[in-house]
Amino acid sequence: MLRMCRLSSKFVGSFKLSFSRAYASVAASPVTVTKSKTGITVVSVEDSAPASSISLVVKAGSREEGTDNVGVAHFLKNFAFKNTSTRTAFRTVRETELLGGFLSANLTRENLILSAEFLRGDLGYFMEILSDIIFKTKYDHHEFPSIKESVNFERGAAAAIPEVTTLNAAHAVAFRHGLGNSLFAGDSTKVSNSSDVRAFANKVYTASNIMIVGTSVNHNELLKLTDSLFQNISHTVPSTPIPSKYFGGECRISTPGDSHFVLAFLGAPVDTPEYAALQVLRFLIDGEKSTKWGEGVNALAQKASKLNDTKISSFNAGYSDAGLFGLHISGTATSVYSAARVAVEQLKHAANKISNDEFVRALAKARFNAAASYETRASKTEIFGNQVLFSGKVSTLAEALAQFDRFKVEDIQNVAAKILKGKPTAVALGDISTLPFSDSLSL
Amino acid sequence: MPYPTLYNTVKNSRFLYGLLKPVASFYANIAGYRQLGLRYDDILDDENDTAREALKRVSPKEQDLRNYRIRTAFQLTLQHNILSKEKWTKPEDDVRYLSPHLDEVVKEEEEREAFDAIKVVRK
Repeated sequence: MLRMCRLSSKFVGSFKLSFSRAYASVAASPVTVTKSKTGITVVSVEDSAPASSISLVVKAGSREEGTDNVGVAHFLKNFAFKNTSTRTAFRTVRETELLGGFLSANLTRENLILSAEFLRGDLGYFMEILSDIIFKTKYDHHEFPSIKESVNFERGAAAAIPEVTTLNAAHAVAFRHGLGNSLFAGDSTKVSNSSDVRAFANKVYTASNIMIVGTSVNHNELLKLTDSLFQNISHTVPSTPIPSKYFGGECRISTPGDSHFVLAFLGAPVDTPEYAALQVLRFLIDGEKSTKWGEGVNALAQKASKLNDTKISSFNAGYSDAGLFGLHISGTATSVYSAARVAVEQLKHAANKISNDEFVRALAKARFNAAASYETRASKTEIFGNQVLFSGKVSTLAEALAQFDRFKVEDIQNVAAKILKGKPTAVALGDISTLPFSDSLSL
Repeated sequence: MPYPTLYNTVKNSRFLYGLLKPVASFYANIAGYRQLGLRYDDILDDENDTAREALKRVSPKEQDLRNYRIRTAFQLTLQHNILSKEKWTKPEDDVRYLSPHLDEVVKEEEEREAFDAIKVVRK
């Protein structure tokens, strides 16, 4: 906000003009959705950018794992771009480098996202690379040890980040299986060779599980390539996943160093009005400052800057059939305790009485957050991927923003009251003798 | 290492194959390794990086069997002995279990060299 003001006072005339233009192009950036002959849905967004990206979004996240193959999704992710019968992994990497492209694989709780970013002309090559992952990966057993090494490395790197550990633990406590599965294959994983990974791949790589998102690519070209490269895709109808069930509870992990506390509640599935309301609630109680030197406006942000050694952030994780809403507090154990008390007070306050000021502020932040998530290629891919795979339709930024306009103060109060009624999930990591229990927070 | 070979020419020609196969089988039988219970791929030179990498790709069970065969053969040569005839490696058991992996590794090494020596031409 501050920077905007300064800028506009400097370049009054010309800036206004360019600003309005930029806005117009955002609004006009067209999204095309087509079901290809292969049964795979193809979505493309024309940003007219010089760099393009394509992604395969596959319903193969950690929630698809069963008890007999926990962790397999992580292995499958790391098997992406490995030896195929057309190219060795080495050739894939070198050719991509020569074309100036960028390949990546990401795993979320619900999806596996295989992406390629490249210059506009190279669509054909990268579509082939992505289709080869599905049809031609060899899953050589001699590759498995190196895959296992990278899996272990990623797990170790994640375990070193308390934010990731606590959020993972919160999901495990809240949902136990399915959404509660860890994103990282643990020590107890039963995946012991590449045929386990191949079996999982054969199960998840089916037409109805896959969709293709392209940004700044020619839609017809993308569609044509999909038809020719993916014509052999399996049409097996995957078994419907077990619906998520929320349990809630407590998890305490003793570690040296800073303390972390996550207090979470059952949220709402993504793309529902309730999810959007929670998003507003999230920014209503958020403890993060939006300027560098300010003290923050709401009570939690002020508490955080007064304690000086504490960070408070909120999250609202939405999935296809459930969600997790909560707060993450980190710092010294005693400060975390007092911040947690304030956080609970604020939640209760939100359930009873929200002033119009607070409401407008939170709404603006929620709107900005929604708009910003349509900004980058990666997040756009994830948004459209989720929407198509789980609801079958795409909602544009305008629609996403429009739902915020319908909210009244009472909607937010109701949603806050509703989550407080449920059983909380609490994860304490660090000095667990000092950190609070969820029932000691007078919820 | 790649070397000039007439293997495919002979294999594809029915005449040459029919002519040479009995000779080849005869040679393999008198070469002596089968009398020690070995397979042909057990006596390939394995003291180089290419073979070491290829051996890693052989399944663990195959590796154990290979080690067992080599130990047996080693013991027999120390004793200046050969196996009794029914324990000789049968021609149908003389499977090339290592060569495919060896070829694969050689190809990968060539590919790496080719990419390292590549001249990039701008479009």
